[in-house]
Amino acid sequence: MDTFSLLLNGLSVAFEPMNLMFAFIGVVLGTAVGVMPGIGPALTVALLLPVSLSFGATGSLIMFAGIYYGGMYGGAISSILLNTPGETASIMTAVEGNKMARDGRGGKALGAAAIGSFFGGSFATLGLAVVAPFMVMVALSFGPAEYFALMVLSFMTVSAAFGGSIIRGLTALFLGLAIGLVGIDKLTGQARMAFGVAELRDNISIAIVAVGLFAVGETLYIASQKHNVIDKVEAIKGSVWLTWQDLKRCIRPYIRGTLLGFSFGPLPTGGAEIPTFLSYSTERKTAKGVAKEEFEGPKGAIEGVAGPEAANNASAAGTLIPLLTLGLPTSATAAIMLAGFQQYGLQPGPLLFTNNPDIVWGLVASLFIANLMLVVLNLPFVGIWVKLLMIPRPWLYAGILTFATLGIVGAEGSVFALVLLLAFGVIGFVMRRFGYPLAPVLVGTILGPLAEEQLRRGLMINRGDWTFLFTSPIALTIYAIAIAAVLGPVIWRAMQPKGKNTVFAMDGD
Amino acid sequence: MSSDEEGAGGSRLHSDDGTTGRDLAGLGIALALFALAALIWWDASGYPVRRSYAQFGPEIFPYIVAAGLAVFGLLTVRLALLSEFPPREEMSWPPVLWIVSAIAAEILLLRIGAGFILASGTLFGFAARGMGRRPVWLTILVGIVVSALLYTLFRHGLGLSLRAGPPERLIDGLFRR
Amino acid sequence: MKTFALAAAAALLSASTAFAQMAELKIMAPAAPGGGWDQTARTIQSTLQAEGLASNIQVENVGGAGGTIGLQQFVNNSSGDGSATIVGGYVMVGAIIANDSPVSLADVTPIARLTGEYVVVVAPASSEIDNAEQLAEKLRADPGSVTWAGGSAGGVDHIAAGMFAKAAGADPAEINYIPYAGGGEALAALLGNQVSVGVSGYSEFSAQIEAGALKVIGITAPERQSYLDAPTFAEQGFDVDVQNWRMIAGAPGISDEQREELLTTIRTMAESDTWNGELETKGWVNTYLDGDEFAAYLEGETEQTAAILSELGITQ
Repeated sequence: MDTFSLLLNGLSVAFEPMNLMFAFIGVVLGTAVGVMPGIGPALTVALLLPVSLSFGATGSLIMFAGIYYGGMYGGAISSILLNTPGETASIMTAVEGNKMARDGRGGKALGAAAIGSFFGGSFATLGLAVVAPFMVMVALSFGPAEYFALMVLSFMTVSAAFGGSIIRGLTALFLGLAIGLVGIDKLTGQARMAFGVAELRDNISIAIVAVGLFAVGETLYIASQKHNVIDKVEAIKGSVWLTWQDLKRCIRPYIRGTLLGFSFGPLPTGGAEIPTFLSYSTERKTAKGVAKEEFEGPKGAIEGVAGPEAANNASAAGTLIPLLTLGLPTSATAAIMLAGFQQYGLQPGPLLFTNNPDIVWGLVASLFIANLMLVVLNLPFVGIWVKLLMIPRPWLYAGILTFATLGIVGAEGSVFALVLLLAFGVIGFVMRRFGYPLAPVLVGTILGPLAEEQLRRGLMINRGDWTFLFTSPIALTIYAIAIAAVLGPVIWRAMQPKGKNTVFAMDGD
Repeated sequence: MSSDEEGAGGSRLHSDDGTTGRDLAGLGIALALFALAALIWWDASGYPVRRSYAQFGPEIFPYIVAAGLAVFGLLTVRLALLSEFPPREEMSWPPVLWIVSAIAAEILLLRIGAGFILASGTLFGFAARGMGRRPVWLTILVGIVVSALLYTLFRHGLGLSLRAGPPERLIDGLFRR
Repeated sequence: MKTFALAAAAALLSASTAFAQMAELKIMAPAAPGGGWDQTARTIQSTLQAEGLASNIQVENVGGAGGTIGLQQFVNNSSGDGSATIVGGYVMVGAIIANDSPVSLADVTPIARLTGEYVVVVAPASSEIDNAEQLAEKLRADPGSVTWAGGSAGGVDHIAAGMFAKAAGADPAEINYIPYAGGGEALAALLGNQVSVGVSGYSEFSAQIEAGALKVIGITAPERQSYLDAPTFAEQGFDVDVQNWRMIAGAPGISDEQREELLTTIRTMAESDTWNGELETKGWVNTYLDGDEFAAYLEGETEQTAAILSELGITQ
């Protein structure tokens, strides 16, 4: 089969020493930064995007894949040891993982997480290699009607999935849509929301919005807290290595987590949060005997770490399918990777596979390598990662801000970009303080202009006839999924006994 | 779930007085949303009419967004009046002001041509001071050293264009030979 | 990766070459890193260093508003500076008009046009449109029935489409031009048979033209091109001559000697094997034109573009 010869060719690209090095750097940086509280893979990629310019398209994309996986695992480390999820995907890992760490089994939890990441990541990448070419064929039949339906699906599921309050989630989404309006309208050349400022005639760069909301907003939020919580790093007691008994307990959660992550990753539902939530609740519900006791008691169950960790890495690979074949970002990191592609003049979509097969298959192959490196690096070096958390907070956050502004100033070459960065930082701070989720802002900023363009393009092609939206069977199917995705959880939630809902009530911003 | 798991998602501390009365800050958010909606509406109403086969032009989407923001502004007013925002921790202003002025200082210094190193060093220093480290002259000094290293690394290592002032020209001179 | 290694090698090389004609050269790329103008600026940098034509060359990126933000900063800050240059191109001409920019290309000292890309009009292989005359007939009969997929509104693709409509005897304002984010996206719409014709730079379509999935209706070059076995619009009787060119210019108010020095340096560079090798790897076509001829060309382009943009309804 052609796919596998292409994949083999990709492996040979990924195994070039330079590219191996980029994967290595990516995994190290991603893990290092993912360990820091509040900084996830999305931000790391955003910061390194302008910096990586000189690495060339293949090299920097391979590095991004490493950062993505590394960031996921780094989040697990701080979740388990500090009970502080570095990013949203590892919220569920913290629940059982930190209990295990306090029980002196932190090493086993980290081991289960590392192997789970490898398992989920590798099998989902294999799935990517098999399914992606098929998705390309589907993608070519997508016109404005189908794309618009996809945008509707994304908007509905993302706003339903993020945050505790629907009102706050949708307000955040509309704020994002408003940001997306700024700049020249692509279809007519009309400048919108520019108010005569030359810099505002371009669209506001996603990097500025993301770094402002997340990095600057987070720093302000941490600074504003009067009672600084003093976190204590848990010592690693006992062996990192899992016993045969532990592994046997992990296998089923790995498989279930991988399936959940891979099937939710490509759906525009906003990344790894939902599959990790589902994986955790599945494991908890199906637990029996010792595991059930550990879930309910203070000891912590290894299944509760294994499942979500496999799920979040599997969803990371799943996310790449719509990104590579449709050009559709389904998570904040994917959105930033999309910007990375465009920076090199690569338009992700059906033609990326035909026009740049070496890059695509090199990327897929490097995902395997990145996964392998994760395990190799992290099992023996957990102690080193933990030391990063010991950087005193003033230096840590001053460094984060310095890096953030360096990236923005270097990329935009204009001081005005910093003014925008500060504005978004303050907005991000206010939003966090008042419990608004941040991710819908990014979704709105990215997908808003796309949805508008697709709709207006479709109307131009059909000369003002709106019925084109509802004549395509694919589009109608997508609308049906959108309605099911939004109403499904509501019905499901209504059917649950009240006590078990607490898991889903946590806001994952 | 037992109570000791709270930290995973809920590191937010609960204030005592957050649950009673109206939330004035929440009304402020609603006001900001109304202002943004009005701004978008006003901007869109000024676009010239253009012929298009789509039958509508660049103004329709802004109108929809403005309308949506206004609706959510109203709902925010409701949230604020019923105090339905999650409880907030008591806020400590000085660190926040230090960090905001850190970025403002970098903008100002870059504008007057002081160059990346001094501007970014001041940012670093103010931010570290804001997070509780003093004295400020020391943090700025550390910031300048860090920024000088970053400048050398990114300007000469990666070719990223960063604003040059007097200190940068000195470093560039070392690389010129 | 290749460029990084090349730049590194070039840097090493220039360090060992003691002889250099220009001691200092600043190149402004009025765009964010990674784009066409930035790549042009960085290619000039690496070539000049490799050829030993200049040492200490710095590239500065000031992006935004089709290059007009960078242009304004360049005009304001480097007047009379013989070592300051700016890279730009045809997109800037349109952006200056559309953005009502306070500075224009008349404010800089034109040095040379370096590269250019001609625009092709293509149709899906299964299309009933085979040549320019058939396309013109359809346009005259019902301009809205022909959907054009191309780059951004008011950009070079749109301008080419408008010029063809005019030459065909149709009203440019009536064409149903559908802007896409780039040639790649327009290509997907073409392959999916969602639009009638595509219009974009040749390189965007070249792979599919070679694969036979797209047929060429015409190319906007004055004469046949060696890389493309298809007729020009001119030989089919339609006067459409457009190219998406890139140039380098000097600061305003420089002396004749300073201008001459820049001109010699750039001309030597454009004739070098390093430069032409770089163009080949990047798929750029050398359409070198310099001095007074280029200055006159620039003036003509500005006038022509202003006229067509207003006919397209982009500017009032």
